[in-house]
Amino acid sequence: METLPARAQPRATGELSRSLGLRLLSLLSIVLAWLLLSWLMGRTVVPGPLETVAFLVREHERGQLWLHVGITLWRVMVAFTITMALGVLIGVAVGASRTLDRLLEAWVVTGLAVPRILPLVVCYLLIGLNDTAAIVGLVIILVPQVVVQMREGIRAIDLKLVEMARALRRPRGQIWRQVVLPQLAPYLLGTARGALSLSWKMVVFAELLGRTSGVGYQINFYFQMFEMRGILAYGLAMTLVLAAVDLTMLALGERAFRWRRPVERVV
Amino acid sequence: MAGIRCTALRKVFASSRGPKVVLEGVNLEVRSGEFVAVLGPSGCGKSTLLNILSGLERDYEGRVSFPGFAGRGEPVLGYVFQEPRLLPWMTVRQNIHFALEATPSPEAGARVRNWLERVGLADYYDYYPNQLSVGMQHRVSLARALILDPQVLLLDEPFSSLDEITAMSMRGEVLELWKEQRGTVLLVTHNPLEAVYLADRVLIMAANPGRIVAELDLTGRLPRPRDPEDRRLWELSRETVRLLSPHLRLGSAAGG
Repeated sequence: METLPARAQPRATGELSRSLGLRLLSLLSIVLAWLLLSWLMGRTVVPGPLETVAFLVREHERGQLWLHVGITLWRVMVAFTITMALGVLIGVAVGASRTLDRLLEAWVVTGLAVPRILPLVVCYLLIGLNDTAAIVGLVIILVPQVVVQMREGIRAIDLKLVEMARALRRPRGQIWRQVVLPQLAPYLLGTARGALSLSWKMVVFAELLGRTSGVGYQINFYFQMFEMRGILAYGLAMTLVLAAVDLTMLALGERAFRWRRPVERVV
Repeated sequence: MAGIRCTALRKVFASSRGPKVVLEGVNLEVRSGEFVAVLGPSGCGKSTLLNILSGLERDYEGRVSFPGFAGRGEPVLGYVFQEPRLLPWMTVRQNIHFALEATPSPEAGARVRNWLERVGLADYYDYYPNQLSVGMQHRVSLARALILDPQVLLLDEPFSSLDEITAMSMRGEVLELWKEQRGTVLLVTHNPLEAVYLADRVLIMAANPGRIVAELDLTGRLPRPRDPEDRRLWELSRETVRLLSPHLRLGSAAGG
C-alpha cells in the first residue's frame, strides 16, 4: 500500500502541531527546572511540584483555597477595571492634546518613577488598613503605565485613514468605531495584559502588607510558619488562574487581529 | 448635476520658516459632467486644492461653489486618493460598504456586489486588502468612491503609484465608468500624457505659489473615444509641457 509523503500533509496542520509541541516543551522545561531545584536543595527546603499540588488539594478540601484566591481575584479585577477606565481615558486625552500632555507630564513621570510599594504604604497610612486603601494604592501604581501606552497608541493612528473617512462624509461615530478603535485595539490589548499582570503582582504585595485575606495574606502566613509548600501552593494557584486569563485574552486578540497575519498575495 | 467653481482661492500654511503661500489667486470653473485635469509639478498645491474642494481643508481665503447643484448642503463628493487608503481590518466588501453606511443593509449589500462586479473583483469580496495586488487595491478604492454615485469626483493622482501597464488599464476603466455615470471629474496629476488622455480640458498649474498659468482645451482637438496609442496624445502632452516650462524654476540657475 502506498503511503503519502510527508510533504503532502497540509502545511497548516503541521505548523500547528509543531507550535503546540514547542509550547508543551517550554512548559515541561519549567517543571523539570523545578524538580531539579527541589532535588538539589532538598524537598523540605524546596518542595517538588507533586507535593505542592498535594498541598493545594488539601487547602481546597479545607475550603481555604478558593476563598483566598477568590478574594485576591476580586481585588485584581476591581483595581484592573478602574485602572483601565481611568488610564485609557487619560491616555487618549493626552495623546490627542499636546497641551494636556505637557500639563500632565510631571504626574506621569513621577508616577512611573516612584517606587511601586510607596503609594500602597501611603494609602494604608492615610485611609486605613482596608480594601479601599489597597485599591486606591493599586490604581495609583498602575494608571501611569496605562496612560503612557495608550498615548503611544493614539499617536500611532494613521491619520490618512481618518482623512479618507472624513472625505467620504462618514459620521463621527462610524469613524471612531470603524477607523480609530481598530487601530487602538492592539494597544488596548497589550496594555490590558500588562496592567493585569502588574495588578496581580501588586495585589499580593498589598495583601501581604495590610490585609487579612487573599493569596498575599496566605503567603505571608505560611512564611511566618516556615511552610514552603503553602507559599508555593498559593503562588502556583494564582499563577495558573492569571495565566488562564492572559491566554484567553491572547486568543481573543488573535481572533480579532487575524487581518494582521502575514499572508500571501493573490496576485 | 453639479460643476465646480473656485474664485480667488488663497491658502497659506504656517511653517517654522514663517508663512508659506501654497495657493494664490486660483480661479477655476468645471462644467457639470466635464472631465478636467489639473496638471502641475510636485509641490505646486494640487492636492491642497482638492482638499479645499472636498472640505478636508477649511482654513482658506476665496470662495468654492458647486454651480448647478440644486439640493441642500453640498453635492455628493467622491474622493480617490493617491494611495488606496483601505481599512486593513475590513474585507474588500466591507471596505466598499464603509462608504455607504455604518451597519450593513440588504439593499446596500446588493449595490456593493454590483460594484464589485463592475471593477472585476466579484471573486475577491472576502479578501483582506493585504491579500490583493496594489492595482486591485486601487480598484477597491475606486469602487468605494463611485458607489456613492458622486456628482463630483475628485481624483488625487490615483494612478501615480501603479506600474504603467496597470495604470493604463485603470485609466481605461475610469473613462468607462465616467461614460456611464457622467459626473463631474477633477483629476490632479503630474503626468502630462495621462492628463491629455483623460480630460476634456487641462489646467496647467505652476508652483511657488501654486496658481493656474495656462489652459489646454482638448474637446475639439481630440475626440472620444481616445486611443492611448494615438500620436496626437504625445504632441498634446508636449504642448502642456511647453506651456508649463516658462513657469518652472529649477534650481538656482533657472531662478536667477
